[in-house]
Amino acid sequence: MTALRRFAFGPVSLARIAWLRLVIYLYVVWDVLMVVTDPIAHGQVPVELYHPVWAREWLGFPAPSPVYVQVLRVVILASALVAASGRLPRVAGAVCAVGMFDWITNAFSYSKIDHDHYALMIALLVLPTVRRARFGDVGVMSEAASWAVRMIQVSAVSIYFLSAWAKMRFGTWGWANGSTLIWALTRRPNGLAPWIGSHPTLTHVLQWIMLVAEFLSPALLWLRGRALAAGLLFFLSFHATTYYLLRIHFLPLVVCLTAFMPMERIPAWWARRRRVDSAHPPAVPAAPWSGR
Amino acid sequence: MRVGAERLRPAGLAWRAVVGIIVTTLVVLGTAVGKDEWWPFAPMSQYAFLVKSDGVINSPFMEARTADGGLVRVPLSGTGIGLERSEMEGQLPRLIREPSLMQAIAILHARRSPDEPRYTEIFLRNRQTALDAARTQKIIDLASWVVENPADPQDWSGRP
Repeated sequence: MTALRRFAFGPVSLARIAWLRLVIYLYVVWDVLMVVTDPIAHGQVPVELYHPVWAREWLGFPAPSPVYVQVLRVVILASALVAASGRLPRVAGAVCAVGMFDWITNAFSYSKIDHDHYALMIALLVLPTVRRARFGDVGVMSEAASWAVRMIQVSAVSIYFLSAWAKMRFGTWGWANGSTLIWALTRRPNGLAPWIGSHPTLTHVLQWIMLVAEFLSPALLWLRGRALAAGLLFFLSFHATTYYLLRIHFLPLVVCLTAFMPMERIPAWWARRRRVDSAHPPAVPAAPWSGR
Repeated sequence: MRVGAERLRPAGLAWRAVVGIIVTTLVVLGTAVGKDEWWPFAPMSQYAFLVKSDGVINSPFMEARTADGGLVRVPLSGTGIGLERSEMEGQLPRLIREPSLMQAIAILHARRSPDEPRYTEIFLRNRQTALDAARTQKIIDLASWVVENPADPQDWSGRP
């Protein structure tokens, strides 16, 4: 019980929530304007092709119409900007969460689900449960903040771990030795993709690395310090690679990985850096980086 | 700088613990036994299917005969016709079973590109690439639909 309590409610600085609100709500603005834009077009799609996810029906969200989706986008943008500023965190955050739930389920109600939005949705639902947070609240250790951060972390890890599970469920144990990556590289080639796609052994190695990393991802929840940084760096470079090869980014998941980062230490680190710089002005000519 | 420890009351701890356990259980169940309609607890199934090494790669696409006699590729994207190719693929079994659903593609085209020649017939086709050394391709017809009332496709006998 104590271990469970330490896992879910162990001390996290309230300032982490201020940073997460800034990052995640600003990302929401980017998401509805640049990433998940299909709800606007869906307003014009005849209802025969509307195939709603169940939560949308249970909660009584209507089939999208042109005016509805435009109004919804304005509501999301306004609430996200207010919440990003840290003001009215519960009200603006709740409006943004409901709005985004409507928006994303609309996008997913035409027979295509992108699972990268799961952690973002959970983040939007848990952030309003924490009171107002300021960047200066570094020394305020909050159990409410800890739970919200943990929920976001667990959701992000769930995406990785359960993707591996789904590969075993749908693709069977033969998945890693199959040609799924070749399939993807053939359909959406970019950069070195055609070359990699023509080397089956290389694609098998990459698929094994992916699968093993996804299965091991829960380790992120227990790693600390440099080991955690290395794990995060691995997944960030994985996303950068798939973006380069396939133009598929997992940005909604990547922004949730920031829940693992001690962003609240940035101001102190920056202040220290500036003090050091003014105490020791760089010699002329400046020393090369490797000399430091 | 303010410092301190903010602890939760028992009720606050309890509901958070319960919600955490329920959400985590649901998302695991979603991948273990669920399906897409369960979102946010849908299976994390992108790229989870198996493509056999001696198999084929299917790339379904749509073409349309227009009122001026031309044959054009239906622009399946959010900015094009307003429906992504992946969304069309998700509905592929339905479209093959009920080709009349493709009337909706003609309606969508008339709404989004009112100045272009209307679609008169829509073809659902599949470009199949074999994963052999030569990567041989063939085109397979999956379904087609003669658009009813092409000039104003919204006004048709199957209107909901």
